Amino acid sequence: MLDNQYHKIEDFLMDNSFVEWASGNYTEDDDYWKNFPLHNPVCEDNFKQACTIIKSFRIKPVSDLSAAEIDDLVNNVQSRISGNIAADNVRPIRFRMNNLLRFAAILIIALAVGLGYVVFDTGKNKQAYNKVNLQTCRHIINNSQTPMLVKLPDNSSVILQPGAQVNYPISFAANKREVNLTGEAFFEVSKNPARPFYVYSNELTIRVVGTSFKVMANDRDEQYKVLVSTGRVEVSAHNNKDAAINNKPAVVLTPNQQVVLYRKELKLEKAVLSKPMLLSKESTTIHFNFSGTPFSKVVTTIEEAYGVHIIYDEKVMGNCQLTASLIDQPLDERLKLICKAVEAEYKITGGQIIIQGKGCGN
Amino acid sequence: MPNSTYISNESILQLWSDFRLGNERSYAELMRIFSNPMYRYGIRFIDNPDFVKDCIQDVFFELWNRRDKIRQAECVKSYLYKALRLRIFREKPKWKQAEPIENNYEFMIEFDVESNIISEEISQEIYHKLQSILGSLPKRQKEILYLRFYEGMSQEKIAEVMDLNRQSVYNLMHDSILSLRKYWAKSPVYYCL
Repeated sequence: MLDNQYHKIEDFLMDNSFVEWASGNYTEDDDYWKNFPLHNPVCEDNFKQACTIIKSFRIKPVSDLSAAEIDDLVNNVQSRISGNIAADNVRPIRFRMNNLLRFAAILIIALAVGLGYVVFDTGKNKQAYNKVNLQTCRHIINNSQTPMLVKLPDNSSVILQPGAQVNYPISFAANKREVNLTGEAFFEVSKNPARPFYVYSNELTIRVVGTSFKVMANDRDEQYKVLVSTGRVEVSAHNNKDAAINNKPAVVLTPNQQVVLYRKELKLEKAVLSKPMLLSKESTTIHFNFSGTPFSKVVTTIEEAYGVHIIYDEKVMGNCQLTASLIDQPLDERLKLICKAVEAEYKITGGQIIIQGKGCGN
Repeated sequence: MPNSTYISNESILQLWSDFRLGNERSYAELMRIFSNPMYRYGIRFIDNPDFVKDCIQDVFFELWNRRDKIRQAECVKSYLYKALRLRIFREKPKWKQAEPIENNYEFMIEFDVESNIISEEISQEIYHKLQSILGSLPKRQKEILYLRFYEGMSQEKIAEVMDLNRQSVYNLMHDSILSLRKYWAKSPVYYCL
């Protein structure tokens, strides 16, 4: 409110209440300002100009964070909090590289010692950068005898068979998600057309947007295989990483198709699977439609479909049955629903799925 | 003002209160609400999106760890902005140790041309003058203008965010408005009696 009689333009502009009102925000002094020119006709001009100034004071906006970037940010913070980070690295999840040098997306393949390095670009074009930064990469090896479930930064899942290993960034790049794989694994990739998902295994490059598929890429094998359960997968072969990404014709796979990569010849051969993949639409309609199905059978179905191992107490849970239609959900949704139905809980520890419950009444 | 869904101050204070008690959902919600405003502010200190995002993450992470010790804020936005500002100054790598950090930063702000000229509120010529004045304003004044006119913060809140006393904020704001007003006003200034 202006007490003095000297109403210069800047007096208006310095007044919080006036600025709020002129900006179009509701204030308690609305009436006062609305009627101001009437009560103070001499100052009307200055008043009007002050209004104009406020209305025209628009600052050039900067680009916002996209919804995906906000998701990443929130996820990263939550991961830090719950300490839900696989393995060794206790460093915070960061977007930027500690080394502020510019770099481009280069993939360096697993060396003989089994370590892999992945370096990504930040979405802008930067110069090639050869140095590797261990702090920004997660490296998971399944050294156990049973399959291991790994959650990726975008909530996709990978089930690593014994001996398999993956490398992936602590936080995926803005425009693509990249993962390095050696061995056999099943991927369930969360859908995001704006951020295609790439899996690299030596000469093999797989590109998807949101699908589930199996990769068989053991180091010693002469042939690599990719088998598709759901969605659409593009597979290409190459000797040099950058060539793959730039315009090599890819083989497109749809559900229940597979491709074999003959590594030496760099040849890709596509085939239809004689038996549909367990997680394809046809198969799940049959096998994931449970009706009074014993709990053990439900568990076995999931284990076979995903290649995971689920631990539970048969004595306790043995009398549980499930009637549910779990046709079209990703793995964790299915687990959730199953657990809900039998009043149990699941948790994932060290890549193992453990279901614990009190059993079912009668 | 930035375009966003309107969330009432009461809701925000409620979320803040819940988060202090350990509610993770409220905490996540606060992150979603404030990430962009914080980003838009932080990016003006240093044009490095990844760096700013990291600082925002750091602020929220620290916030969670210290939630027991935080009081119920009157204004969540100014609290977060202040935290972000401190974090950016602390982490900005290029600054040499010798120089006092407070004096060695930039604040990037530009007028939005098109809408102003198109609506004929100001002419091209005046726009250019304004732009050059704005560009040459000291960084603190630019930041104050941003917080006042773009974020709608009161002088008290601005003083908190920038760690200045209220009188300084008032004076700086007054100076910058005088500088700009000279070119905005189309008619000569006169006093009303």
